[in-house]
Formats: sequence, C-alpha cells, structure tokens
Amino acid sequence: MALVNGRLGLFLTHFSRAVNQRHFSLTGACGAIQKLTRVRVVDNSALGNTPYHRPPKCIHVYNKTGVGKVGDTILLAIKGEKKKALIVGHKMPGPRMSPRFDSNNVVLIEDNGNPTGTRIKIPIPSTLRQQGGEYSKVLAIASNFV
Amino acid sequence: GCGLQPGVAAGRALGGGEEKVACGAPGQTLSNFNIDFVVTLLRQENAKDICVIQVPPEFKYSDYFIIVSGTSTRHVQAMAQYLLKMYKHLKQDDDPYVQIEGKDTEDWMCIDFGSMVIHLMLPETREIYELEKLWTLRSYDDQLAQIVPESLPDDFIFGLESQQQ
Repeated sequence: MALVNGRLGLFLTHFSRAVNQRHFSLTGACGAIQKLTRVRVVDNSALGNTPYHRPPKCIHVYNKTGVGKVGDTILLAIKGEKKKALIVGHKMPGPRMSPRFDSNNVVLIEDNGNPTGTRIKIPIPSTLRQQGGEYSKVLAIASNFV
Repeated sequence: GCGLQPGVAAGRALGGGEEKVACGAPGQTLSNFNIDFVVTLLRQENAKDICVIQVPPEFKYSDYFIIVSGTSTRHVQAMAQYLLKMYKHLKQDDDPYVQIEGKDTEDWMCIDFGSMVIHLMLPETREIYELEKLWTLRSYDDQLAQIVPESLPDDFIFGLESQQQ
C-alpha cells in the first residue's frame, strides 16, 4: 500500500501538488457481500421487518471464497439471532446484462431451504432460475421479476 | 409410451449397440412429457387438489405452474420421486437433468421442468403460502397489499451520514 502511494506520488509530482498530499489507503478488491456487510431483508417475514437498533449483518458466507454473489446462501445476525438467507441482489456490478441493485437484498430462508416470508415485493433477478441451485421456492413467492 | 424391457437394459450393459429405449424422434420429450401427462400421473398417485395455472408468456418464467397437495411427507416425497423417474425415462440425451428441490424439507418439494414448474406441499404449507392466489391475482394479491410500504422517517435528511453505532 505504501509502495503504491509512493509510486503514485512520484508519478504525479509534475502534474499537481494537491494529489501528492492526499493520503488514502488501498485495500484489495472487495466483493459483493461478505462478513459484516449490512443487508436489506426484502421479504415480508416478521423477523425481517420488525425494527431493531442494529441492521442485519452477514456473519458467514457459504462459499469457497468468502464473497457472496446473487444466489449464494449466507448467515445473518438479525435481532440477536442467527438466520440463513439467500442473496438476491447486490450493489456491486456483475456480468454485463445482469441487473445491479441499489441495495444488498436478501431473502430469509430456514435451514431446510423454505423461505421464511410469504411474499417478496422487490424485483428478483430472473437469472436465478438458470443458475443451478434450489431457487424455485423463492421464485414462487416473488411478485416482480427483473 | 415404450416400456422398459430388461432385455434392452442387459444389452446396454453388455455394450451391445446404441439402443434407445425412448421412442420417437429427438426433441419429442417435451411433447411426450407434457402437462396432460403430468396431471394424469398425479391423479394416479392420489394427489389432492391439483391446481394448474397457465402463466402468460410475459413473465418469461414457465408455461404452467402446478400446485399439488399430498397427505403426508412420505406421500409428497414419493410423488416427486415418481415424477422424476418418469421424466428420466422419457427424456432424450440432450434434455437437461432435473432435480428435486427441497428434498430435506418435510412439507414443500418442487421440481422445475423448463416448461412446467410443479410444487408439492402439505395442506398446511399450502395455506401459509397461498401460491395460487399470488399466481392468479399477481399484483392484486392480498398478502402483497398487506405488506406495509416502506416510508422514510420524519427526520430523514437526504445525504446526511447516519451516526456511527
């Protein structure tokens, strides 16, 4: 990080003094949904909609890499409980012709895969159907597809 | 359709030629394994409350949406496995494989054959989710109307960062 900073400073010396003085740290590329991301629960379950003083946070991603994309299951800490959830949209841009959402959307599911809520009002990407995995139940309670 | 004969199976095991059990030209599975066939199979299996909803093509989801009730977990499992078995029997080599979703649940299993989606549930689960209402009434569904629309709190100011917790 310091190396890049120094190199950046050297490179831009003769361009602008202002840039040299800016100090920013560079982290590696972060993924869409990982541990400690705050998510938005998008179905009509009681657990997802009752207000709480802390937003629901991801505490584990069930994936080889720790980064969750659309269609991955994650573990949420919600209202002091642990609950599994399915990612249905994230703010990070994905493949070109796939939808990008303005919030990290998530649908609560039980341990056996049944959705906790009964309806989903927010649009769900229709590419979930083509992806291998158990998404038909979530698609069945969705009212809007994107 | 064509019955599965032990002689043919043995011939295949011995490596004797490309004998296909399924009859008909390639691309005919979908005409063999169509909605009428599935409903007939379900009636044979004593499925209760078979509900077939024709989905308009605008949704780009599937053509038919079938919801079926079973008497017990074992009944639902047996129906799902039977449907899968018939599909595997009738499908051609270039048709995609189909899996049963929800194998480890007790009350809700579903199978997605491209042009049809079938949900097998227990009557209690059916009451909770009311999928028929959603797929016939679409945006006029009453459970959707009961979802309180999200509203901003009164003291919300756009662009102001929230306090660190």
